Parts: sequence; C-alpha cells; structure tokens
Amino acid sequence: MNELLPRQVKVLKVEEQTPIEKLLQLDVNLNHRPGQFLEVSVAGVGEAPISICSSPTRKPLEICVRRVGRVTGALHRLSPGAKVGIRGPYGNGFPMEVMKGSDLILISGGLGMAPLRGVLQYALDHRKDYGELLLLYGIRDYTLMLFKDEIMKLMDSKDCRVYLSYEKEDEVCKNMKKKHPECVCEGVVTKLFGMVDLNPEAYAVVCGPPVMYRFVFKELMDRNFPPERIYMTMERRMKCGIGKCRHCVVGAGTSMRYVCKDGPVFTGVDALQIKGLVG
Amino acid sequence: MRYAKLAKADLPKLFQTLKSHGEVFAPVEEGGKVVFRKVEDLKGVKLEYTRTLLPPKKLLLPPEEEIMRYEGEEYRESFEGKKAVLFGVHHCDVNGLLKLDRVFLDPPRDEYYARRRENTLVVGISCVPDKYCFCTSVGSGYATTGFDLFLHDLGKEYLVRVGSGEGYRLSKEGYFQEAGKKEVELAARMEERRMGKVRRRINLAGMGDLIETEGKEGWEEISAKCLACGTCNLVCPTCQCYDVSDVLTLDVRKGSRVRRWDSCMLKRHALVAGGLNFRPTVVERTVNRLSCKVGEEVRCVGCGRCTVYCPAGIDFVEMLSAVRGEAR
Repeated sequence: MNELLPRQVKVLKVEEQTPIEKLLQLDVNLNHRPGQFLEVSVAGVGEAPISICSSPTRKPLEICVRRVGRVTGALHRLSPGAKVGIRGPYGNGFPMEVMKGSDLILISGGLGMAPLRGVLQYALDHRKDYGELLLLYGIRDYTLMLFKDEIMKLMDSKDCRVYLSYEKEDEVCKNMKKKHPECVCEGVVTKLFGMVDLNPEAYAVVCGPPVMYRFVFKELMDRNFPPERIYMTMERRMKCGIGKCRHCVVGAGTSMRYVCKDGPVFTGVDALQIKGLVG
Repeated sequence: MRYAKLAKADLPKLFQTLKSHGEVFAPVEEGGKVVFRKVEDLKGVKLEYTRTLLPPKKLLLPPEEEIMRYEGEEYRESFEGKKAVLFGVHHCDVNGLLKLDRVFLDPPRDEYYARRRENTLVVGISCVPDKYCFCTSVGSGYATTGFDLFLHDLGKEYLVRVGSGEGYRLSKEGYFQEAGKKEVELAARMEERRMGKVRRRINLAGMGDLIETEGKEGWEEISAKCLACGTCNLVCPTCQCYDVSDVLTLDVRKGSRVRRWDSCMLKRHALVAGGLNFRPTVVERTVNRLSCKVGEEVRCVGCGRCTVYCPAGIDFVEMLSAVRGEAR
C-alpha cells in the first residue's frame, strides 16, 4: 500500500465557525483517537496536516480549518459534495484509556480547542469513565470563539465545568462575565488557573498556539502538578505525517522527536527532556 | 557470505551481465568532478576515485520525482519501475544507503524508495581515501551488507563479496571463479592498508549531550560563516528531508504531485502556514542538522562531502571539535 496516496472522501457539510475558521464534515469513519490528525489534500493545491476535532464516538468525522495558507484557503472555498484527499489518521493522539477514572482538565487557547473538542466529546460520551471534567478555554474575543453553542450549553450543564477567558472585551463577553463571574474573566488562559483548584490526581490536556505552552506548563509546574500527568499536543510542519520528511522534528542533541510520529501528543516529562518542545 | 573471484580482464563481461539487468550508473569524470552517470560500457568509468559530487542516493531518492498524478479529484500513483544498477559504490555510500533504508523501508515504508531499491543492483568497490574522509571513526569504513556484489582490487583480479540472492545468481556466471581464505586474507590486508589512509578522526563520545548543552554564543561562533545555502544537505548521502508540492497543467484539470529534496539549513524548512518559523535562525538550523547527523545516533558516514563542497569553507569535523570545546 502506498502510504502517500490520499483517498478521496466527500465533504458533507461546511459550516462557518468564526470569520477565519470553518468546520468541515467528512464522509469517513476512521476509528481514530482524539488528538490524531489527517493529511488533507486539495488536488492541484497541496496537502496540509489538520487535526481531527471530533471524537470517534460521533459521526461523521469533523475537522476545523483555520484559513492561514494555500491549502486551508482552498478548503474554505469547498462546498458540500466536493471531494478532498485524506491520509491518516496519524500521530499518537491522547491516551483516553490511560486517563480513565481520573478528572480531566482541558486547557486550550484559540484554535487549540479543535483537537480538545475530540477529547471533550469522548469523555462526555463515556461520562462514567471519567471524573470531573474541567475546560479552561482562552479566546481573543467572542467572534473568534469556536463551537460557541456547544460550549455555552456545557456552561449551563453539570457534565463539565467551563472556564472562559477573553483578551478583548465585547458585549457578549461582558454579559457572560456578569452572568458567570466565578468562571469567566478577562485575560489570557493562564489567568483561569486562579479560579480553579488543581487536583494533582487529574490529567491536564493542553492545546493552544505555540506560545501558550511555555506559560501553561510553567503554571502547572509551579503548582506542583506532576509532569507525567500533563499531555500537550504540538503543532509543527508535519508534511509527510509518517516520520520521513523530517520537517516536524523537535529537540536537540540526544533527544530528537518527530511531532508527526512520536507526537503530536507529548507529556510534561517530554517537555522537560526535549529541548525547545515548549519553547 | 559467499566469496568469488573475478579476473580484471573479465570485468567487461560482468558489466554486460549487469547491463542486461537494467541501466547502469557508474562514476565518470565530468568537469573535474566524479559523478554517477548512466553509462553504456566501461570506457570512461572511474574504477578508482575518491568521492562523487552527489551520493548514489540520487538514484533511489531522486532530487525531483513525480509521485502521483490526478485528473479531476482522483489520485493515481506514478511509478516508472525501471531496473537499474549502481556500479562502483564506495563503503561509506553503501553504509549511507543502509541508513536511508532504515528511514524509508521502516514501516510505513516509502513505496517509491522501496521499489527503486528492489529494482536496483548495488555493486560496491573499494575506494581511494583523501584527507577529508573520516568513515572509519563513524563505523562506515567497511560495508558488510547493503550491496549485491562488492569488488576488492587484488591487483590482477577482484575478490568479490556476494551480499544478496541476486548477487549470488550473478556470481554463478561462468566468468567468476571460486575464492576462499587466501583471497579473503589478501583483500583484508588491502583493506587494512586502505583504511589506514583514512587519517581523519572524529570524536563523537558524548556528542549528543555536548550539542544539547552548547550555549548560544558558542553556536553563533560555530555557525558564523554559514550561508544557509543547503549545499551540505544536497551532497549528504544520508539527508532524507523532502518537500512535496502540486503542479497543475494549464487547463487546471490535471496535475501532478512532485516531491523534491529539501534542506534543513534553508530558512523555510520549519516554517508553517501563518508565518511561524520554528527554526528561524542559522544557529537553530545548525543545531538541528548536527543533532540529526551525530546527536541522537550516528547518521554521518564520514564521506567528507559537506566539508569539501561547502562554499563557505566550513569543516564538519572542525565544527564538532568546536562543540567539544577544542580548537576555539
């Protein structure tokens, strides 16, 4: 089998999430793990790594695409019925089995919510297998908030405690803060740590822009959170997805890893050992 | 291993047999440099040479190749499936191929490389070292596997080591003779003499840790002369990086997906869409390259090409000596 050859799948639905992000439903069932990614091809344009943002327990599969380059631009122009090429799922994904029986603290910033949505959905669909669910989500402003309806609904439910931080205050954010002052605040995502008690027996599941990891990791370490209970998923240039083209390599000296093959999910212990992993 | 003997006068016969397998690529001199080129006969083939400009890698992982075509939305893989022979490959380069094998044949295997490797016979030959070679201190001074046949010059004849089933079939041709301990002993002495000419040494003890702990100022000094041109990557027998892009025909309905060698020393290597570059400086890219070659494991085969062809005159061995804190 030629691993580089994409297979064609139909786009079932295209939904605008924010002015720069769209949700695409694909007509495929992959039995993936939350946190894994696909190599998505648009014929004639190219191929790019995109994380899966749905849980394997929900059908159909969904990807959330931010328009940042040529391939993602082309994905944004697709309509339902169009076809895209996919390879994968690739990468290790989050170890949902390992985290069974524990509380989960999901910490995400911006588009980092996309891979964590898969974890969240998985835990909600296996609600009895997990302890308390906490979601700490940092957004720039309400217009850039992903999965608005789903997260707002969770805010009012008992299944998951949602904490939200925003960097730029707008009317919606202001009202949310007024309504839930105990779980909404202005600032970056690390500010939310002040609102929650970190159970060191929990697992922290982190995804956000590259700059976020250093601060979140430091915050967790400062609070004596055990590094082996931190799972972080990383972004790099995963061009081939199978550990050959070497663009996504991280580390230096004795500790080098492929983000596509050895990750994209790394532990806090990896972060301590692999130079440059969290910046 | 099976051993055979081939009279030098019978080398053209071997060449003809190889040619019946497929296109033969052999070292020839071109513009003062030795390069692997397709040849029709042994005329002009350099049986004694030091190093080719590009490693034989170029025939298994071409600098540029179409990997698939698409029409509409359907992708179809492109593959020529040509049979070929790599004739006259040195110990270091055979070991380089073995290192590439590990990358591209380990699952999930790269079909393009794998099929070419299967379709290509490798005939090794002993080399003429120069002052830039340091194969013996990175464990690549002698090839024990990775070839079909390996020729050792014994004066009037060659000792032929047979390294594969295909090589075994070749060695059953009538012009081969049996060889035993006597020829192997003689070849071992010649090899000892050859390897003795490899004077350059590289000390890799603890190198990964030294690379990891080298400070920013040290790296700035070490990479100060680097032009970030990527020549070292292009001539390296073990560099594996590639990039992929889509090329459209003018009617926009058809196109192909092409892959090309990439260089980790080029600025865009770790650049992601949106403009974030994970290795924006020459320093970071130098750390990455050295880590890749000798940090986590020894991928360098000591061929000396990156030193010989660096336009800025950067010496790979000296770079690592500097990391070691010597020669500063």
